[in-house]
Amino acid sequence: MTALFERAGVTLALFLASGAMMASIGWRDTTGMPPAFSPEFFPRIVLSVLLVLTALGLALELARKGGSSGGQILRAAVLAAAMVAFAWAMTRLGFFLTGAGFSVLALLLLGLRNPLVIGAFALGVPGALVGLFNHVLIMPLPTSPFSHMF
Amino acid sequence: MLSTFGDSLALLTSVEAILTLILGTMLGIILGALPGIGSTVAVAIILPFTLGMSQAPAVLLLLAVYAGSVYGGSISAILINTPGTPQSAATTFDGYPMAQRGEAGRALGWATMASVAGGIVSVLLLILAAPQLARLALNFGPIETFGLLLLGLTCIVAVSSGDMIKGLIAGALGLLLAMVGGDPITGTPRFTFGDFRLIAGFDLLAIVIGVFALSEVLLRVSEKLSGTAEFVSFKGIVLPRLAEWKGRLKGLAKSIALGCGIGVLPGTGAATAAFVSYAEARRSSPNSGNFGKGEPDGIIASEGANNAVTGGALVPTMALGIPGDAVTAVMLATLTLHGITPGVRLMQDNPTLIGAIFAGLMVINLLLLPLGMLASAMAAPLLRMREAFMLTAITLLCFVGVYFVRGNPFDLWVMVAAGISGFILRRQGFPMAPLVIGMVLGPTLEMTLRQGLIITNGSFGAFFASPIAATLIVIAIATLCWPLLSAARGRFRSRRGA
Amino acid sequence: MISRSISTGLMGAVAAAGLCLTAQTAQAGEFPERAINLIVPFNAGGGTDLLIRGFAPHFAEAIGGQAFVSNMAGGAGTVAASALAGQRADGYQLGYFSITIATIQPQIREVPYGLDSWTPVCAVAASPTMFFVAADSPFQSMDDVVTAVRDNPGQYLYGSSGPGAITHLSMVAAFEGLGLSDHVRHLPFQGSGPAMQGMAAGTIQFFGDTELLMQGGDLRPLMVFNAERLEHLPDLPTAREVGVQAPLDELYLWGGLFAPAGLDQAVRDQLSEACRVATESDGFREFADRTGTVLRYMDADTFDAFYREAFGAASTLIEASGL
Repeated sequence: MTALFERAGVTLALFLASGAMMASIGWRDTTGMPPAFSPEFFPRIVLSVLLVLTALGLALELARKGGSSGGQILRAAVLAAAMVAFAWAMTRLGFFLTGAGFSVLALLLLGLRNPLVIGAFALGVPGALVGLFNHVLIMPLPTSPFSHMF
Repeated sequence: MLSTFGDSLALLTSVEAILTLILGTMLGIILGALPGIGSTVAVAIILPFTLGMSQAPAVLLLLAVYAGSVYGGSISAILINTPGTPQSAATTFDGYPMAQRGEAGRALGWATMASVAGGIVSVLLLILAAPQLARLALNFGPIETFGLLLLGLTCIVAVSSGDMIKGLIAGALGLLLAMVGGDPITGTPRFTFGDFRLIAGFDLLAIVIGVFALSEVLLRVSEKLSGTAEFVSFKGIVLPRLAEWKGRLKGLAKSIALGCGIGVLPGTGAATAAFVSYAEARRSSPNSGNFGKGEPDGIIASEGANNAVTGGALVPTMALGIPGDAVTAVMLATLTLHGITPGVRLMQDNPTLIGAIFAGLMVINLLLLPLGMLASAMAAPLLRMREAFMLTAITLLCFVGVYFVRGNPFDLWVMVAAGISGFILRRQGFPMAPLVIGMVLGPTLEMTLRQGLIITNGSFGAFFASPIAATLIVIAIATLCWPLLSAARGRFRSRRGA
Repeated sequence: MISRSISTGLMGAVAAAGLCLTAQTAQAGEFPERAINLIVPFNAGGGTDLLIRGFAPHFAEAIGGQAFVSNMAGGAGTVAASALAGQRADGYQLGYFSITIATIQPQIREVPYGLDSWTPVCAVAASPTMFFVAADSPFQSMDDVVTAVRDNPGQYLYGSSGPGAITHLSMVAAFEGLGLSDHVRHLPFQGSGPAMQGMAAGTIQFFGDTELLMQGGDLRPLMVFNAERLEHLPDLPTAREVGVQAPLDELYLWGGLFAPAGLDQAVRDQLSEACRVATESDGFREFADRTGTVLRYMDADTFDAFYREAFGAASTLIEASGL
């Protein structure tokens, strides 16, 4: 049941999203502009195709049985959340601090426990990147509010 | 003529020039192989260094980095299923399945040989026929380009053999993603929902890195990790034996021809060439049944074409002074800075320099072979790292690369969102390659369609008045419909049988 | 591998510490304490990018510090301007904005910046735009163009590198100024390269840009949007002579350095002075000559007044172009 829910849910979400986008530009052209000058001309074609395809896909998903689900979804979800945090923090705390923090979390999540190894990687790899881009190539990555050196 | 040739060689045989070629090519390969750092970023990194150099080495350095990065993208495409540059996306289709089978070395061998062959033939073509080819390309207006891109779109069918509907959905999603931002004809914002950050649209590389690299990281994390096993089994490049080329040379020749031809056209580029060539190879190859499952012909089609573009893109640059793509535009600007006027008289006015550039390009393409082997040998120990380190390092590199694509922090959000969505879609069996194809071809497809309508005063029928365009459109529609029809027939038959 | 990571990390740390020390001992408390970032709102390798990369070393020398160029591309330059507008005005981040980014885009798009978001620091360049036809075109003068367009309404196409770009605006200025804007059609391209291909193939007949474009393609200029005739092209009429009505008869692709609004007066003047020294340096002049850029320095106050006037004048063009 959960497998079907996930399978059909994805296609249903795509179907609804394309419907909503179609609604946002209007189902048919009311401006009377020639197609070449109408910004909605090409999107309308693609969205119509997408609506038909997702409807078809949805029907097929509902008819089909089985499918894969599960796996270490929680672990992937935590890492995905860490990536979101990375994108948020990189421009605020700088690449080095964010990268080091992310590395520690990712390595712990992936089953590493040796603090020396984790520490060496988390400081070494982001540190090397910051050294290379900020100080050798002078193409700086974002720096932290504490020092413009990293 | 001969003395000019001698002078050109003299320019190339200086220590500075030789070092430039070797270091530039190596740097290009490494930068191209790093996920997120595409050709344009590679050239941007190197550009400041060229300002202080003399004419010939400056241009050669840019060319070396350019050609190297196009090739380098295939290394990560094959080894970690992450195209280092968008033009290598088509290489993942068959390259990664081969790597998963434990044949990564052979896959890279095919990619390297096809790249070198594509690069060299395109340079020869550039030397022998640049003015004629450039004239020929003028026959390709918006309408003809539209036909060509439509043919490129049929590649979606070619790469989604597993589940046609899902492939087509992904392709349409790609077209849709490409539409976000300012409308190319009127400038009106589309699908930005009032957020000004969306006006610039989604960056192709941010999406490519998200749906390929980040989603791959998430997928691997969601599976049971192999604690000690290697990331992929890879010991270095294994070059294909002569006998193995039997039956594949025709495909190689065809993909190189396509790459050269598409490279000559302005505003299309290496990614388009790779996709069109892949679609064509899948249609005509004797091994088409194995495409997508690790078929060398697929790698040859993609890599032969995208490296052939490097020479092709220089044709209009050299013969007409019109840049064929973003990288050749940088090169034209560099020439200007060094006091050389690009344009129709470039080749007549500076025969020595042009000779050196041509010869240098030849050398660069030959260098791809030894340097590619060297770079792969360097990558091999990295790939033996434990998977946990590998996944974390890939993620860090993705953030660095995408940050530099256009210096826009918003692209980081786009990449992460694409990564998470890619993960969800890939879990349900949606292929990501069609999405990239749609995104690459979408903007130019729409642009040329609407340009064509402006030129013909809104007549769709006029598109068929051009013989080139009509032929291309008919082939495209036939290619698109055929598998759909045969799939429907197959399903009908199997249902009747059951 | 692990040992390698550690050693690279350590090396990075040592190098960073070393740089830290030298930076602090250099000059404490005085502007500039650290490197100044010159933001190019386009991709690396474009005309603007190269100009600023040529400018940066001279500027760094004049200010007595470091300067580096970074690119932030997208949205016809508005992405960079929007990002800079939200920054603190400390003088360490300067954007090089052109006429379209500073005056046109904020009036036709919803962008988070406007007339008062900036402290103009200095103008660097202002190149007059020109009206081009292909070198093998039958049009020898603007009179030929006017006659042909008037006799065949709707038949001729002018190209541009994109809607709202200077290439578009110059054509709008030409045809609106001549009262012919209903007789020609606009065909935008994705950049100047494809547009030049269209010109060579005969898809479009007219194109407008600065003189720089002439170096590349086989083009014939028919008029220049300048106050007077150019010294090196004495036979080329100005737009006013041809009959283009003011204020459309002058159109320059100008660009200058902008800081976010509220920059300290002393810092502003220091930057502006360094900009003057750099712009007038022999090295940069030679550089600009090669790229076909016409340098025109303005100090902060003059540029501020010029910018505000240009912002107002842009509305005529915007209205005419239907953007």
